Amino acid sequence: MIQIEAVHIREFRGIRDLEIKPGCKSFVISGPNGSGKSGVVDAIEFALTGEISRLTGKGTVGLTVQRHGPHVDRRDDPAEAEVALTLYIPEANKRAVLTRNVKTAKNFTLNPDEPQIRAAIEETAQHPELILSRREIIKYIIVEAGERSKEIQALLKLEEIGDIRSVLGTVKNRLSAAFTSAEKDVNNANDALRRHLDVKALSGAEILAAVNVRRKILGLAEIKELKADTSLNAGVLEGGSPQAFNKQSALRDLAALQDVQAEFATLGEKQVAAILKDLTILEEDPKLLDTITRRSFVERGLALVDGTLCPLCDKDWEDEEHLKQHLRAKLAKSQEAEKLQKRLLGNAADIADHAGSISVLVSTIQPLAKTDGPEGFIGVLSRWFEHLTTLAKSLSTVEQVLGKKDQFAAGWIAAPAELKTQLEQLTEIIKSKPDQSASVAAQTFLTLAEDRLIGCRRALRVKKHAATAEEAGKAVYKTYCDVAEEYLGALYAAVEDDFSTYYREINADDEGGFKAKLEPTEGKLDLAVDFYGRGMFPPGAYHSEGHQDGMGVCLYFALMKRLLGEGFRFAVLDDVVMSVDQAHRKQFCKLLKMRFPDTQFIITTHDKVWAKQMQMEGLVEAKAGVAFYSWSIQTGPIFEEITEVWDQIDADLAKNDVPTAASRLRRHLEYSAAELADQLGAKPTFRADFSYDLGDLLPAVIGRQGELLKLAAKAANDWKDEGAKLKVEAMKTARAEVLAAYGGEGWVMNKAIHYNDWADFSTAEFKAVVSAFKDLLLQFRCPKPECDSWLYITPRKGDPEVLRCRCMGLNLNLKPK
Amino acid sequence: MATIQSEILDSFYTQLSTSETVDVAMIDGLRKLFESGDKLKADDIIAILTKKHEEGTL
Repeated sequence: MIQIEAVHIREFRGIRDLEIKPGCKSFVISGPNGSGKSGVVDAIEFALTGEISRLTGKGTVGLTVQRHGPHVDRRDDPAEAEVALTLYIPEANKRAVLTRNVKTAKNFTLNPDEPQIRAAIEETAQHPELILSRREIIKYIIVEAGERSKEIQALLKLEEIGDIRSVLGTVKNRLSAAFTSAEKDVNNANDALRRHLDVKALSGAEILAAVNVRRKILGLAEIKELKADTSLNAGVLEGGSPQAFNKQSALRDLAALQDVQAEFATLGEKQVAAILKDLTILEEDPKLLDTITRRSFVERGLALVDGTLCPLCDKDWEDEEHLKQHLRAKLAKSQEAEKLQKRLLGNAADIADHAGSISVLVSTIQPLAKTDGPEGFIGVLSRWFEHLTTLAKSLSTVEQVLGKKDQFAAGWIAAPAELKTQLEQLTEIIKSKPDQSASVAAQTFLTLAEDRLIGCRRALRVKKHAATAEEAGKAVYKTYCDVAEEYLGALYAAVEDDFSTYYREINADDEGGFKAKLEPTEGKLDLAVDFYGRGMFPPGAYHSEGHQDGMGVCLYFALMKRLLGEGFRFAVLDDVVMSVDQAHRKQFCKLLKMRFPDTQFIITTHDKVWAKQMQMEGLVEAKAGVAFYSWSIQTGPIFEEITEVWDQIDADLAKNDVPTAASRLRRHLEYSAAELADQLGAKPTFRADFSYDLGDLLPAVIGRQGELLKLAAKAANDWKDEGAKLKVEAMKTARAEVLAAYGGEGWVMNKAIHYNDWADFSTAEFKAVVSAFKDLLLQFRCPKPECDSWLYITPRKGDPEVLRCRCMGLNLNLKPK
Repeated sequence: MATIQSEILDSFYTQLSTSETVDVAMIDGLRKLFESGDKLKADDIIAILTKKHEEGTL
């Protein structure tokens, strides 16, 4: 993972030339809408990925990085548009400068170019979710469950799990089909052997009984046990080449085909009727047929996706997953077509099985027809055999079935017209053959029995092999599904827990009992949330939009924690913080600080007060920010780095601009007084509209400070804490000096309240006012520059027990003995 | 950094090793295939799972 030390943007989007230096720490970019904040976000994204997500997706047809990435005045000169990131790689403890130019957007240069640094950058580029915009957060909350599941799976990069599951499912199905086919081959081979031996069942005893009778005729040794390598005609070969014709066996084979022939009229009747019905539906609804045709096309395309280039239309997608999602969505839209497709192919498979079985019977007759059949019969049988085997192999797609419609209508078996007669003729010919001598009959019987036994053994081997493979395929598929399901169950439970915790932490004041439930079901991910203890509801049911936004942010952080763990070291929150309402900003800052202390957040907001609050709450350091004031096409963002308000006021006064300085001081005092009233538990006169002004707040804060110092002094005395006594004394003295030097609290209050008078002050006079307030406010801050936080009391409700600062450099007990 | 997918696969191999129908060679084959980074194809997995077995008896 990476962190950003500095960003240098040149001629990119709305920016001409801008350098910001986050210094690997959280950083805030504030400014009104249209001031160029998003240009910085786009630049960071572009530098890391070569893409600008704002230029892709819905409503962005015709927009490209090449053409629209450069500043509009440099649109014909993309080489001028460039972003350089100075990066720090925490795990390698190394720094490097990454530079990416719009003209060669697919590549970046790195200095120094080291494998570890490059790997960290490439890994970061795999996580576009690290750059989160406000419009994206709601997609985790207010969406249909199937869509939420997709979004969350995409964020957690779980598509690969689905892909693996899908491929393993295909493997399982194909191995099962192979086993079923092998099983049928065994049955066909067994039937042929059983028919030849003229036995009811193929038990070892029956086989040996039939065989040994013939062996005895030939004076051959009895076979006592049927083993894997037993040869039924062992010894027969010794006298010369064996004959394969056995009259009785031949008659049985002929009878078997004739028996089946008698059933031709009804064989597969139901399936054929159903097939013809479905084919008629398809012909009458070209749209449905088109959908199925496209479906097959898309299915094939999906299986062939290997990279960003669509195998169906050659379109280059931004990434492989988007392409796959697009194809999957097309398949999902055609459920009716899928149902018909399944039914049609299921019936066609039954017909294919029948065709296969008949062809096996035909194959036993072919040698007889060749040597003894009526003229032309072997040709007739060969063509029919070819027809049956071809049919059995060509009914696996809708297009194939559709192509055979005429055959189904006319009779799929397509038995030759002369079949019956010629079979009868052949039977008569065989029957009329002189009976074989007992020894020849025995010899041919054994030779054919051995041939068919070999066929059975071969089929059985294939079946056993197929059975083992099928079992392995099932085990692999089930194991993967079980493991993935268990893992994802635990993952979602953990996400649910973190999400609930984060939301509770932000909304502790009114939703301290909040909980959420993420429930994955068949490709969907349902989310239910507690609503003030009244039950679990969809997030959009009762919660306000602001709360829903807050949920989106919390769910995002919970997901990122699971996805990246300690590797979550960097994120860009583009206007995301505006999802947090004013009452919960403090808790939001605390959440990010406490839960993600090692993460660098680059935050944009159009609310300057929010930006200031982030600094006051310590989420970002005092000077870690830049404020954009406005933007022009010629200059890009007009900005200044965020500095201490006192430095800004000094700058105003250096230009003798008292009105601006006065306005800035007033706003700072308003913000500070409200913040201090909250931090110290000051009690201004209650106002039903909660509209407290500076006149309400500042006196209350100053008064509260006095009360707290009295409490601290008493506690220090009670506990005989000499160190605390000295600290409190020093604070009281400083406070008294500040207030006394300017005529007491009344002077400060009056001047603050009637600040309009300030505009008439001379620069020198106003400097004194500024100095007074600066000294006053310093009383409420930790003097350590690295802390610089407001003092606050704890607990926030009830009697205060401690007065402290964030770094605990000041930590005064307020609880007397 | 272990990804969710790699953690699932590790657990998958461990679970498979207790299976009576999937042998060590198959698991090694699957592991190599998944780690190759190549596009996963059903044919490749079928080749791993259909190694020859001993002949049967009739």
